[in-house]
Amino acid sequence: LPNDHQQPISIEADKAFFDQKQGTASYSGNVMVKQGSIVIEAQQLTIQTNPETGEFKALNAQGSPSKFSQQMDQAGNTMHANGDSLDYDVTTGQLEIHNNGYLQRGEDEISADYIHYLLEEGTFKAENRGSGRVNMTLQPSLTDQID
Amino acid sequence: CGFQLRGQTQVPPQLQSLTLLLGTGSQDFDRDLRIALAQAGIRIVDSQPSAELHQLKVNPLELDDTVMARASDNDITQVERRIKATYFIRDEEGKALWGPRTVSISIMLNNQDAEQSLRSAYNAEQMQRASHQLADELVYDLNYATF
Amino acid sequence: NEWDWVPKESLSETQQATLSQYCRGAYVDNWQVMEGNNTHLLADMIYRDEQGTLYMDGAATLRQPLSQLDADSIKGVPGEYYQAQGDVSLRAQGQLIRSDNAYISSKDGNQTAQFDQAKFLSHSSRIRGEAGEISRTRDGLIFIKEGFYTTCEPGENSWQLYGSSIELNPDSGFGTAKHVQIRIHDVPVFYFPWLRFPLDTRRQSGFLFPSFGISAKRLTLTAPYYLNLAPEYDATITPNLALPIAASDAEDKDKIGQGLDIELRHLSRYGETRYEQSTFYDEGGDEATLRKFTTDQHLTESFAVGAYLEDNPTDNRVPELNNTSIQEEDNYERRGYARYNLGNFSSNVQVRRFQTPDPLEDKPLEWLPRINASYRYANTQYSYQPDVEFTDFYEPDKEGQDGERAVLNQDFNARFGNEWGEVTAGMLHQYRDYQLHDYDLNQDRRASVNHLSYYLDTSVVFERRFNGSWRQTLEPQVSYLYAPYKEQSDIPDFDANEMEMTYAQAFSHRRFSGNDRIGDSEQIALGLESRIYDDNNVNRWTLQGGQVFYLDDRKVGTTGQTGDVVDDSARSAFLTTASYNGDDFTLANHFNYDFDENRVDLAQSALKYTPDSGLVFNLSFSYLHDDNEDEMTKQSSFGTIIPINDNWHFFHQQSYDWIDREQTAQVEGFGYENCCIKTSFSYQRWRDDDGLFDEGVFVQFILRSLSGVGRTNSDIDTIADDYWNQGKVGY
Repeated sequence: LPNDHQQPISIEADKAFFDQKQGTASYSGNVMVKQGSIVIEAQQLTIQTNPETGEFKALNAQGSPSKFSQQMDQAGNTMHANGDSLDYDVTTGQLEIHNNGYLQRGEDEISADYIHYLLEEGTFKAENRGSGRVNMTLQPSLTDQID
Repeated sequence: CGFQLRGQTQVPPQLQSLTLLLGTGSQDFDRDLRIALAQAGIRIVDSQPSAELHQLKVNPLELDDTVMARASDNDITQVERRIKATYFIRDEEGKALWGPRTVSISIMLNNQDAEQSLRSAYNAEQMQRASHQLADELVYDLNYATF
Repeated sequence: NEWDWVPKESLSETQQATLSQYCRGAYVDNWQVMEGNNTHLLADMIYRDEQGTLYMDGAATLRQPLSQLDADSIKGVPGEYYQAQGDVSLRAQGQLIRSDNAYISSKDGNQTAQFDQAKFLSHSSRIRGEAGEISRTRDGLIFIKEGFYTTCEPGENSWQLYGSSIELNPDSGFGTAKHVQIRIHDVPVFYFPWLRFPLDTRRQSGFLFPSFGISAKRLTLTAPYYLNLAPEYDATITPNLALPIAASDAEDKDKIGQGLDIELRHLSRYGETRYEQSTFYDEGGDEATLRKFTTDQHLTESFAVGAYLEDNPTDNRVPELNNTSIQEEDNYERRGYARYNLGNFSSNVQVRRFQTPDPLEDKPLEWLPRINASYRYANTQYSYQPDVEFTDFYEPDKEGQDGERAVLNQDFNARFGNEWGEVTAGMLHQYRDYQLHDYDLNQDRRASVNHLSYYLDTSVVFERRFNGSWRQTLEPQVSYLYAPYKEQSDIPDFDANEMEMTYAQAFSHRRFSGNDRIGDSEQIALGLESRIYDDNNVNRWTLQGGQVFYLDDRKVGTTGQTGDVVDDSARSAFLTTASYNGDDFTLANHFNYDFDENRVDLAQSALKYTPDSGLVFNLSFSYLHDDNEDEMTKQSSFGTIIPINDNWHFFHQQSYDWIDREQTAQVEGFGYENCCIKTSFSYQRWRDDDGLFDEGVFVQFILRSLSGVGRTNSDIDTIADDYWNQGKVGY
């Protein structure tokens, strides 16, 4: 949802470690992050906050896989993404998925080595980084047959 | 020079009674075949083939004419006709146990430019004799069926 | 290998079996059906922009349930359009289109794909083509603009069909083309404004492609059109055109003009009905027509009715160009019949009339009607064979005699024997009763004859094995026949005919075919028959030799009074036959030598040699002695087809009449055949129905799956027709 990043963040994890000076926090073991409709699950999470304002800037999640989901509209359609490593830049609203990337957004489903997804515009770029072509699936309703 | 009286020739037990599937296209030949089978003591059963009742299937007769002579007005006057019958012995699933076996006979048809009634009577007589002999040869061939 | 082309050697056994000997490979369609109805996009890079346009670069694939589009890059909005660039290929079941770029749009639900500078292939019908532009609708309809198509294998261009616009419709199984040009090895040989042709064998019948013939004075052109009116109705309509090339003079045989052939076929549950008509208008506007109607309906398992009607409405004028099965005859038959068969009982009734347009020709006897019934009974010992026939003969020329004839023939015999010997004693009863009308004397009268013949057939069979498991039989046969003389002078000869004396005739019990003469004969026939069976028990050789010894003179002939001796010879000629039945060699040989007159009475032999190498060697010779020399027959014919190499064949035929000392038929020709074309060029010279000689050059070529072209010689069947084999592969 558009105002997600103004929402409070709650993070659960087995272990946590803070570095106030750097403004970074890292968590490990069954990490669960919630911010508005965003939910992130991972084994390893590091969060970047603005040391002065304490505002949440970006995060990196590692897992096999690590998961990211966000509700896209009032109708309850949610997008899901997972991959070995996720970089979520809150300020620019961009999500980068590295290795075994998977993104499901409404009708589209994409799996690729690397996916770069812009949350607001809903645009993405997926690339084959050596382990196979990008594979995207469209539901029949959206496309018309061209057989 | 080694000739002695012909020894016992007997139709194999499996062929003592048969059911017929005649697709020869010639009613005369079908009848001559039924008569030849009856004369050889083979019982014709009018039912579906079964484990104990094999089927004698005969394909359409093949006629191959060779023009032997033509009158000065190009009308055909003499023809050599080779008639071939191909048969199978089949089990209840239609698998060929014996065959394809082909018997053939050649006849000379002369005065083919005679008046219509003369010619059809002559051809009818020659074809009846040929059909009769071909049926006998087919039944004789059954003596040598091996299963 | 852009054409999914797999050479023969690397095809599977079953695939190879479907190939003709002239095809060097096959198109293998490895199209897999995909479950579900999602669309899958694959590429090295996929990028979607704000407007929702997808960009796919690097081995881009757009896979849909019924088709797959591959290209270097594909751009598009799902559901609206796709634009593919670089090494584009669209695959579907049995179809492949390749091009540099393609545009697929989904206007109002109906999707078409447009390809520029494209190549196209349909695997099953082996059709490939190229064009400036190819478009394809969702259900597989293909439009080719300014392109060509062929069924020749890649790299082979025996023929191409160029068209400004070609439409191939896999559902109807037909293609149509406009401004058609046929090129043989890139040489344009044929132009036609419009053309309809079959795409698969499902609907192909008759000539569907314009055919032409050239002779010194004229060009002939036929353009068949195939109509499938309903599943059980179809028709072929063939306009014919004969155009002058050079000034033709009166005694020219080839007429100029135009005509039409029509063939209608109806298939019902009971059987087929067919109507054929050929009409031709010559320069003077005179019509010449031949037509034929045939139907054969099996109403029940045992009962069938039918009709066979030929007609020449334009009194003795016959069409100049005629591709139908009704050709010029002396007598055109009109016959209606009904048949009833049950078990070993068979019967039929038929009415048979004739139209004889030429007043000089003798009008044949007509049957108004003929009814016959026959039954067969046999067990291991007895055989009984009654035949009954009633015919009401009518003589249209109203001269001589006609009338009603009732016939009863009964053959009864008993067989005694075991595995090596057999004796058959039998009796043949022949009864005739006539109600005659004599036109010359204009009086009616009756006649009848009742006749009994007795026969005794005996045979003993010896056998031996030789060279491994071959088997030879030796079967002496002795037959005694006693058929007393019965006065038959007052009986006309409607259908009696004396049959030539051969080995088989020697052991038969009737001297005359037909029912108007009962041959008198007391004779003993001696014969020896030997059959040779190979190790698979197939009868290869059959040799027979024998002679008939007459104990009395014969006094019944087909002409003149019976009672005068017609034949007083004490023995027949020595009668022999030799026949061989091989897989690629067959021989049938009859040879009778008359020791009393020291001359050959009859010598007929027909030999066919067709080894696997593709060589064909036919030889036939027929000599029948007759005291009156112009009744004698002495003719020979030799025909051969010689494969020159894998594709070229040479064929030749020579038929010679030794009595008239002239060549009755001569054919020189050669043919080329490969996977997609069969051609035949032949020069033929033959003795035609007016005793004069006709000659012509016959050019034929068939573009596989397009249909046949060319003129056949409908006057005479020759080795050229064996080679042509209706355009099918091989011969």
